[in-house]
Amino acid sequence: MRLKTFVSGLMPRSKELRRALRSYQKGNIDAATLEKSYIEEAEKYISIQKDAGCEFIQDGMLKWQDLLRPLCNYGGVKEGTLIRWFETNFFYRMPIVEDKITYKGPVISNHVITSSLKKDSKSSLTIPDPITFAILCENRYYNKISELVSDLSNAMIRDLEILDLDVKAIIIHSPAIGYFGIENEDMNLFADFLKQVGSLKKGIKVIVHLSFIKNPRILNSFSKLELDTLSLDLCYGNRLEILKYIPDVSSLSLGLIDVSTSFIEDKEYLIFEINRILSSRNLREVYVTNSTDLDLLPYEVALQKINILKELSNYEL
Amino acid sequence: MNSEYFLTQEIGSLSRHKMLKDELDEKEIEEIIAEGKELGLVDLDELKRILRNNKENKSKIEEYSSLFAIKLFEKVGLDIIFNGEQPRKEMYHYPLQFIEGFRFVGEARVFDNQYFPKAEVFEPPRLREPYHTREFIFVKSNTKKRIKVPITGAYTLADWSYNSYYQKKWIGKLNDYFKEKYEAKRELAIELAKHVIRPNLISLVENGADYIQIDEPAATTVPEEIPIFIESLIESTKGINCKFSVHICFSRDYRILFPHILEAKNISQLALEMANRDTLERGLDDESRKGYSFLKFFNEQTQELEIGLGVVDVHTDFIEPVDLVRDRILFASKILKDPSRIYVNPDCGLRTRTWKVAKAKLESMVRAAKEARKLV
Repeated sequence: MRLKTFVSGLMPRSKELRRALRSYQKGNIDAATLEKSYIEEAEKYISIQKDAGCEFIQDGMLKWQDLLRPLCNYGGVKEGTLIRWFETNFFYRMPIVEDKITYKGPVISNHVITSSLKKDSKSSLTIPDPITFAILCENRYYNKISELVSDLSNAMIRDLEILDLDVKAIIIHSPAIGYFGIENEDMNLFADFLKQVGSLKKGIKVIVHLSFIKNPRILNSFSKLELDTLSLDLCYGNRLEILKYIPDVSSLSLGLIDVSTSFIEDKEYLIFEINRILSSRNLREVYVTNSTDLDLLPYEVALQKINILKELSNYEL
Repeated sequence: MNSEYFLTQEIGSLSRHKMLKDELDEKEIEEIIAEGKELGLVDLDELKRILRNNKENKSKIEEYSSLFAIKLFEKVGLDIIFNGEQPRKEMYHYPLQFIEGFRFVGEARVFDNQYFPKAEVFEPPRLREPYHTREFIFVKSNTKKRIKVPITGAYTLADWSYNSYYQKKWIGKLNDYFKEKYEAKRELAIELAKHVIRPNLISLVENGADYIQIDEPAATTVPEEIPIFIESLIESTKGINCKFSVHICFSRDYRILFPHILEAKNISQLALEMANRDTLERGLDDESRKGYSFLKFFNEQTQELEIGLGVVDVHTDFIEPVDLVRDRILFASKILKDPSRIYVNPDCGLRTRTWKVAKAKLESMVRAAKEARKLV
């Protein structure tokens, strides 16, 4: 079987883009000049991913301040205080839901650098799932979480429908489900969301990436979901425990590239681990990916990590 | 009124004084001199001369900015002071300059467009020279106040660094990536405790320090690693005759420190951020003082440890009124039932605030402590 690779989630910004952002904030450059910097950097990342042989290509999510921030632009939601992002040294702004969540206009599409991705037939998109949002926000409006999730799902799907991009895969990042787990009732809401994402376009690949997995038992319930690939962070939680609970799926993505360390994984070690993980499984396809956002690393280190994927791409197991 | 109750202290940092800027114009120099006079400093001709040629003598300017901080704290009326950490650019970057075995690999994002330098360990860390002793000696020679020296702890240095050396050492050894990472982290934290923090603490105590605060903002970041944090704390401090406080802030849940923290017998105080979680309502009821709800659990767990009570928020310019701060202190006193176990401090270092705001917050804190003393 041929090993496939991809990168998902937020990627670090280069010094040049950071400088451009600072200049924009100070009013020294205009929005068009900043946009040019975004496009240049996205194209650089696209070329790096292509060169690494990645199966899907994304724009680096360079416009996303954190995984949930764009969603603060929906009606009824505002930005709150800075909160630690799980057990990392990164902080996100907690969204505050203070009214019914409504779609007022494009949000996700405004944060995707579509002009760069349009040129590529392998383009992909990473988005958060609505359950993760519901867990990590401050809810001041809804009595039932199911109503919050339903309204947010509707807004997100409407947003994705107008996205002017022919995406091959949508990678749904679900860190809060990995970390806090998910109740049965919420699992149904999650399943509905996945179904809607899968119906956006014929043949679109739906990948769910769980990071910060604390309670691997939740994985049992993932076999019933309509998803094409289950992707797992295998660097944060207890890898051996996680492996015990991986459900019977035909396509698995292994988050073995550890973003919590600058230590660069050795190819031989990774192949050994991959073979060990796959030894008793009957899979149609296997991917290797980053454990969670590469943005947790400095830019230079992240590039070295992508380079490991290059070594693994198309490796015959 | 017992003046030993509710002793007031700072957590450490003030913003770096503007005299430390690379370029100063004449107007700014005059403002600095005027500020010094207002703080009660008389002979400022030397400072004026150095500032006019400020690239020549950076360490002397750092001494002056420390002196300004000392005088500010004295003027405000704090019971326990240090130097506003003026010579330290920052609590992670600064110590690493004195430790072998680390190299900076770039900057990682903290939030929005804010970045933080990150280093990796490439060989066992070793102390080049104690890095806070000179600061302590300077403060000691410039104040009669009691001194508390802040130092970044071993676990936080380990947690904020990439652990390349020890991960490389452990990988594949246990056939369990999770355990290998844990052991690698443990080994780094303990090496830092033994070979970096401990020699620093010994040097400080040998030079007369009797109260040291170990800053461990990362202590509760990874709940599973609390035992590593505690072990590093014990290794850092065991057998050293000194009062030790541990400062932790912005934790999701301080309760996870217990019962482990009680194993670190040499630690006598936990200085915690709390005002940030509290309401602005006056009163001693649970609802008004919800930022301090942890104290009930704290008191159930220990009757020995003191609390360094965070009573002013360091993330806002809002100056907490005296009666609000007083009520926070009195609420803690009501829960702990022993006012001598309560020290009063800001939530964290005041580095992100201007000196003007920091001074006003500290003044409110000192007046509130005085009022609270009258009422217990």
